[in-house]
Amino acid sequence: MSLRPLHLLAAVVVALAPLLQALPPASANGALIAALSEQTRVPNLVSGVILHTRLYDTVAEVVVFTLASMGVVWMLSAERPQTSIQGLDDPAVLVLCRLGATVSALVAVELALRGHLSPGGGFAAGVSGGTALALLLIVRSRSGAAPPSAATARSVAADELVEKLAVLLFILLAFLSLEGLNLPEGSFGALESGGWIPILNALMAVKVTLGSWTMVQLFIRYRGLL
Amino acid sequence: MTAFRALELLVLLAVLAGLVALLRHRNLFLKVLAMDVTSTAVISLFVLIAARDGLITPILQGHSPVVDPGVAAAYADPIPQAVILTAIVIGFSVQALLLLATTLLAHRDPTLDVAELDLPEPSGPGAGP
Repeated sequence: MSLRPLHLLAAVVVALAPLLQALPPASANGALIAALSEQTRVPNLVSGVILHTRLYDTVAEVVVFTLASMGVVWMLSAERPQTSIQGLDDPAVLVLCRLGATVSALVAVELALRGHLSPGGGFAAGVSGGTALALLLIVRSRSGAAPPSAATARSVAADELVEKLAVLLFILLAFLSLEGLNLPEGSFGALESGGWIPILNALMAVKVTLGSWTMVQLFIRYRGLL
Repeated sequence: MTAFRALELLVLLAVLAGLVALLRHRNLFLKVLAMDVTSTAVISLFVLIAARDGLITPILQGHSPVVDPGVAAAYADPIPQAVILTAIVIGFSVQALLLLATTLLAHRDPTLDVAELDLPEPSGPGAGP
């Protein structure tokens, strides 16, 4: 079954069709920017849109991410974990992994706490934190024998509990925000400004960190490093 | 051809590469990865469209939420960037689940050949593992 010419033609037509469309005239978005900054009152307008203007959408997004990490746990629960994991043993790689983990953990904190002032936000912070934890996991799995599965099951359970608490708190605060209950404004550009946005950012960072860590940890436990 | 059109062409070629790989490969694992190439290309299309009206990152400088509309016209549009973040996160979730399902499927049929997976399973006593 090789690639049929008709399939190729269909792919080319679908992919390149937008080139034939005339572009709408470029609109000046000055009014939009001004309205958004008045409404959200944070410098990072993308954070403002995600966590204020389109908050309802973001709640569903967080729920989908939670379902994905629960799905990974559920789908792997019937499998048998690997008895031993082939780990890395090159000292240079181990040092670099530790260094990378430190740097991305620091970056995660910075992105989570100042996500409404500078580039960043909850999802980026969560991915960075998840990377840090995954790198540490790679360093720790060097010893060959896998940790006893009871200990792993306990740590995954505790991890899931914290993750779900973060999600529930996020949904609760999001609905408070949607109902119009707001924290005091604070001064524009300060760390504690923008209402619920910094708190929602931090919760989202915790949630995405733990979610991606759960997935990576289970992948490594059940399938090994390679 | 303007710069926007040239960049759009490159992004759409990346979409095309993903689609062709999706059609061409028989291996389920490679098909999943090809879908990821397509989704990444679509994300970059959104970023490109957001930058069409202005090139400055939509992060305000200074200590006041009030912006001069003349200056604000040079900012990129924050709405497409925020919208596509949803697609990134959902794409990541779907990718994780699909790769896991593919890995579990590989226990039964290590070749992961789509044509073979489509065949009906032999039924009756003594058939199958």
